[in-house]
Amino acid sequence: MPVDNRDVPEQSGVMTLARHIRNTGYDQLPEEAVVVAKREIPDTLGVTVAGSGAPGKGTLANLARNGVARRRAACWCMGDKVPARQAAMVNGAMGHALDFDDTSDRAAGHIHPGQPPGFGLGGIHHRRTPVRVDREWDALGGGKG
Amino acid sequence: MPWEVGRADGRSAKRTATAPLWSPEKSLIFAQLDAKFRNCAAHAAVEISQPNVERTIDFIHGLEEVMDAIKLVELVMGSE
Repeated sequence: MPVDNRDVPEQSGVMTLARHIRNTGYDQLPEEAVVVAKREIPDTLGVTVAGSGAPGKGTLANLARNGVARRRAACWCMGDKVPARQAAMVNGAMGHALDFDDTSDRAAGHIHPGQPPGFGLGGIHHRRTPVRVDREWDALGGGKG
Repeated sequence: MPWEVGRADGRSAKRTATAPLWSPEKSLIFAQLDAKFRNCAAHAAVEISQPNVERTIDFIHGLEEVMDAIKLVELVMGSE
């Protein structure tokens, strides 16, 4: 499947990263990266759903609902759909609302690398075809390993 | 790293932490992560049913067997 690059230059860093993620298979991940991914997913998702009730989240959600693009992406813990970019903004805010360990350099480099792919997963919630974990979540293991 | 807390009555308590949680010397085990997730889910803006909380944990533990990652989004949408 080609990477969707409607608004992003082909040679940009974002596209390079997206291609790397897309072309890295689950079976190519080192075992350590898989272990880290399984540790990061519940931690990142946990602080995000807990952050869904944080002050200011309602304001952000209303802003997202006013987005003019197609409303086909999901925010964690929200039932309605919003444009993908707005979903990423709301999910990102929720993910960091109550959690501060991103700033701890002694915590084994624990900087919640799950946030970016987690936002992306919400963003592709509209897809009708199954999203294979061993492909889409490679971003998490690939990014950490 | 030593920490000392002074009390209003003049007494103090001192503790020394040699390694913070998540450090290589004291990384969390999966049972602790599961407990943290359950605690976090209890504070979500929408109610996530207890069965869905447990399904989410099972989902993450069995990532290799999961065929559609979107179900993870659906599990924490606040509906059964």
